[in-house]
Formats: sequence, structure tokens, C-alpha cells
Amino acid sequence: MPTVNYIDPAGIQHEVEVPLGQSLMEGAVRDGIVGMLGECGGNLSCVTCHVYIDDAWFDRVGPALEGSLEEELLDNVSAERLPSSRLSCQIHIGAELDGVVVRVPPRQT
Amino acid sequence: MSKTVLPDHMTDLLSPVAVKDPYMYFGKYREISPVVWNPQWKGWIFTSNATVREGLAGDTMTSDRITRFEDQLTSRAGGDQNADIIYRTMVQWIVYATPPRHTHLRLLLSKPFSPRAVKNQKAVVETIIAELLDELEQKIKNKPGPVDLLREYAAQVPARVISRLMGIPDQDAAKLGHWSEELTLLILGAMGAEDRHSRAKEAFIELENYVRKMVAARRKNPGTDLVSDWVAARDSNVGLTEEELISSCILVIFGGHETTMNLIANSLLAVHQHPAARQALIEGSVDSAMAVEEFLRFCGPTRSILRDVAKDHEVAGQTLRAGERALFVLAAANQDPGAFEDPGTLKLDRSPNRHIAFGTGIHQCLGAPLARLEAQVAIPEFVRRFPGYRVLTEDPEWQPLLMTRGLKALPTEVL
Repeated sequence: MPTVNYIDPAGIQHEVEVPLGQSLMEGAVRDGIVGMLGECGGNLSCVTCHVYIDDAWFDRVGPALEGSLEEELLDNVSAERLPSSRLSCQIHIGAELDGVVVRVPPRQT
Repeated sequence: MSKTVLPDHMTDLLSPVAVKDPYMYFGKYREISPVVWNPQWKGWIFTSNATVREGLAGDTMTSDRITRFEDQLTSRAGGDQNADIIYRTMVQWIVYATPPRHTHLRLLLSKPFSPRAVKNQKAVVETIIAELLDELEQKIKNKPGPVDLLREYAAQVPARVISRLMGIPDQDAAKLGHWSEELTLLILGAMGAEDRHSRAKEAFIELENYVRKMVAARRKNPGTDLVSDWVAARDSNVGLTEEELISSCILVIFGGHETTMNLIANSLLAVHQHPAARQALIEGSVDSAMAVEEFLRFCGPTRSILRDVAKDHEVAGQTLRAGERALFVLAAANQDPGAFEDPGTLKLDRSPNRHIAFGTGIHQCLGAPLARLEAQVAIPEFVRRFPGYRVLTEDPEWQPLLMTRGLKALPTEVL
């Protein structure tokens, strides 16, 4: 099973196994990662699963698609929107993301 | 095919005990089955955290309960004129919309309520609440005696915040609050209140007239408020119809009032009943954002949410059929021992706290960021200003409403 490294707002890194096909949001929520909410359950309605993708991984993950709902909604997030910002419910785990590092922003609401 | 049916003595959703303590009442449902058929109400009742979450976030349910009502109303000879006029607007509400129309409307309407936009309103909300506390203090000085905190404070907070956000003068805020209360009778399920249709209709007509005038005024003289923004969105033709614009303004006025008012009042009652929580808020030893999440879980204002089953499916061993109705009891899901340690205990520093007081899925409360902000300021600031406040009844009366957990009044000695 691929592992995901979540760095919580306090800077603590959590290594979590996330089943193939699940989203980064689901993996974090199931593991109780502090600072991750995902309140709407992955329905692009709440913007509370915001993450920053680590620079070393950004090429592989990629930005939100231009013109997509996610791209529009990133303007609504609570913490600062950075070029590496994504909504983690829209990133599904494949083998190529084994070991991916993401940072959870200081606030979601 | 399997259907677990509640015994007859447990089917009255608004029985005195169900109104007084829905947590205990629906906990008993959960013990029988987390999804169970209520033969009196003729629908499924969801009470566990997992099944409520799954049902609201997935695609097995639909929110479009209104088209069915509309068909019934228009097909009835003569129709129910009172309800008709309200449903004509409600049918436009995003709460009943399905994708792709829902997605489009949500994107447009949610901007001013997004975490980003709300963060910028923090100073405004703090100022409003400081003003309200000053006014309350003055009022008590002028006329000592008990006050109804529900109306004198809890209701004033959202009324004034939403009015400022919409560019409505403060002196009209009370009017909007009154109309909202009357509409509650119809919309939030006051089963059996005989005059609910006519009272709601009267309030609705006045509210709708007010909103139409307001929209016309902003079109002429745009401001920096959210009504002006929506009018601009409508007029730049991005797909918001005039009826959607009007009905959305009504929804925001209505939606912004009742729920936030009840969250604040329920929380102030809970603080009164929990001296340790009061102390923690006075000292500021608890993070107010964290505390509000616990109030939402412990005594949130939304008792339950209605849906229709969208397609035949099985859940928790039950066979659900398309077209049947379902009630998702948030009060039960938020106090499910399968999801929370000591669910009946108020712990202001509870973490993690994955409650679903705002629902979940595509219809998750659009105003959640604003409601959170209002509560995060209104509750601790009240407790600090009046640290010795005392609710004057140990057994307050709750509104007999299917979808709301709200008090009839909160008589309080403010000290």
C-alpha cells in the first residue's frame, strides 16, 4: 500500500498507508491528522481539505486543472493560497505517489 | 428484502421526550438499528455517525424533495394558495437543487461565505458583538431584571451580521428576524401547528417584497455588500436568473438567522450547566474555535436533515427503495458512542472532533464559516462580559420542531 507523509500544522510528520484509489483527504481523515477536515466528504463543497504539495513532489502531483471547479474553489481557502495548493480530496493515490509529502496548512476554516 | 420496523411506542418524532432529549431518544433508535423504518412517519431514520455521513455524502439520496411537493400543489384542485406562494420561491433554493445546476449556483453563492471571505469579516463581526453587548448592558442598567437571552442576544447576533453583510440598515434587522421565525414554522417541520401555513405566508410575502425592493435599489446604486455582488453576477449574465437571485437572498436571510441563533443560545445554556466550561471560557484557557466545534457537536442547532432515497440500495442490512423518505438525525450522529468517546460529555478541548453539525456532501452548510465565526466571538465574549449569568430555569422548553434543536426562550439573570 502506498504511504503518504502528512506534515501537520505543528510540523510533525505522519506516515500513513493509504489504499490505492483513495484520496489524500480520506487517508488523512481516517488517520485523524490534525488540521485536516474534509467536511463535505470529497464533494468539492467545503474547501476544508486544503494542502500544500511538497516542492519535490509537485511535478508528479501537478496543479489543479485550469478551469476546473477545484481551481476556482482554491480562491476560497482559509490559509494562504500558494502555487503548490491543492484540495486533497481531488488527489487520488496511485503507485507513482508512494511516499508523497504534503503539508497541512495552519487553518481550514 | 429486509426492513427493521420501530415498535409503535417509539414512533412519535415529536413526543415530549424526543423534543426534550433527542440524543437519548434517537440513541434508542440506533440501538435497534442505525437505519430503521418509522411506520408512523413513514420513512427511514438514520442515527449512526457512519450511516449519516455515508448517506449525506454519497449518491444514494437526493435533496430534491421540492419538485414532488410542487407537483402535488399544482395538481390539487385550486391548490393550497398559502403554501403555493412560498414553494414557488423555495423551489429555486440551492438546498433542493441537484447537479449540474447545484454546482453552478453553489460556486456563485458560496464566495461571500467562503473561509477566505469570512476571515475578512472578522473585525466587522467583533464590532457588532461588542455593540450588542454594550446595548444589553445598558438595557439591564436601565431596567434591571431577567432577559430572554434567545431574543435579546442570540437572535440579534446573526440578524445584525447578516444585515450588515447584505447592506441592510440595522433598524430593519429585527423585522427580518421576525419574518424568519414565522417561516420556520413551515420550513423546519412544525408538524401540527394549525395556522403555520397562513402565518408563514404572511411573513413570506412581506419578506419577498422587502427583498425585491432591496435588489432593485442595489441595481440602481450598487454598494460593496453581497446583494450588490449577486446583482452584478446576475446582470453580467453568468447564469443566475432573477428568481434565483431573489430566492437566494431570502434563503440567506432565513438560513442565517435560525441556526446561528440556536447555536448561540444552546451553547450559553450548556455553559450555564457546565461550570468547568464557564471557567475555561472566562479564563480564556480554551481555544474558542475548538470550543465552538464542541458546542456544535454537543448541542448543535440542526436536529435532523431530510432527503429522499434516490435509488434502491441496501444500508446497514436494510433495503431502501427509490422515492422513500429518510431523516438523517445529526443530533444522534454527533453523539454516537461508536464515533466519540464519552459522547454525552461536553469537553471544550475535544480532539479530534469530527462532528457533522453542518451536514456533509454537496449540500453541506454554505454558511458554516460565517456561523463558526459568529459563535467563536459571540459565546466567549458574552461569558467574559457577564461571567455570573444565570439561566432561570433548569428545565427549559424546546421548540417541537422536526429539524431544529432550539429553545422557546432562555430566561436569564445577566450578571
